[in-house]
Amino acid sequence: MKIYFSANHRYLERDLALYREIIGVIQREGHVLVNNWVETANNRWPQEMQYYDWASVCIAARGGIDDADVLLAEASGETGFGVGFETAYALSKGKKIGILIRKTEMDNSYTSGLDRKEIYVCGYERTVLADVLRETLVLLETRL
Amino acid sequence: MIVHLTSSRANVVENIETLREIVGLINESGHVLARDWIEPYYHVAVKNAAKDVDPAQVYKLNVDAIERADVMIIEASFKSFGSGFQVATAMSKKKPTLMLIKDDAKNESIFSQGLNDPLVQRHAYNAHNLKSLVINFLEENNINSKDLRFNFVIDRQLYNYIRWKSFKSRKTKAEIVRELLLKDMDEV
Repeated sequence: MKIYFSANHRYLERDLALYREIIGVIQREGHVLVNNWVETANNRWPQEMQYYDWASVCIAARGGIDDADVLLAEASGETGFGVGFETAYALSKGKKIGILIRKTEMDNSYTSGLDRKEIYVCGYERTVLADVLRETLVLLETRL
Repeated sequence: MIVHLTSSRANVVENIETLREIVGLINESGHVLARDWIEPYYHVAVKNAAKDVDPAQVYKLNVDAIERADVMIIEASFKSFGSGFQVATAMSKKKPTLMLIKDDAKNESIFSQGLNDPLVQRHAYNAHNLKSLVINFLEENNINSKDLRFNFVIDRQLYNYIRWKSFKSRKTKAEIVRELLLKDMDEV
């Protein structure tokens, strides 16, 4: 599958290891990551953030989702506007959607209320993320 | 018009006076809310007087409200998944959207600065310009619900085609153009 990965970029330094682990599993399972913005952002942010051309970022994000079969989002913690925007955009384009969220945050967030017929929301614990993600990818490929 | 007013729920208590002012401006302008959720949620959050609505129900109510609304106003000073989700949903349904961000907001979305859709307006507000921003947006988009007219200029080739199509399908030229527009709206 061609997969667009969506996640909050504001705390990239803190979350970089998590995002790299997710991207690593996607690639090891034989899927194609559309638009690896994580590494691009890691090279440029946060020092350039205030000067960034956000219109181009938005266009690239939408283009990436258009090209993908699946949107996979990490939506734990202080999830931002961009992840919500990209999720709804993917939904409007008929893409398969998987949302990863830490188990402790499953019951009390906007993401926990998303329509489960359209979106697969999966709780995970950090220690077993890779296993949960592999199962999620199989489900997205077959069930949805 | 029907207006969907929304905001991050996490920010309702802190921002209640602004939200009340926007609700007042919508009502004074003769429009109605698609979903009157702010006061009930405020009371749930502050007084713990009733059980909060289930997140699945919140999601469904929001999507229904966007569907029903003619326009959307979102107080987006506090970035959230729900705000982004609702803005993209409104854009996909071609609903004009006003994003209002406090001019001293510290936790706004930088991603939203890149939205360049002609139906989305993004403005910084303060106590002095909030009223004019809301009123101007409502006036700009207050399209009469009766049928509208406009001049339609086409060349001979298009005219001959539409005349032939009208004859063949036994429909008026206006009906044919309306059907084409509806088909295009479904495909976008």
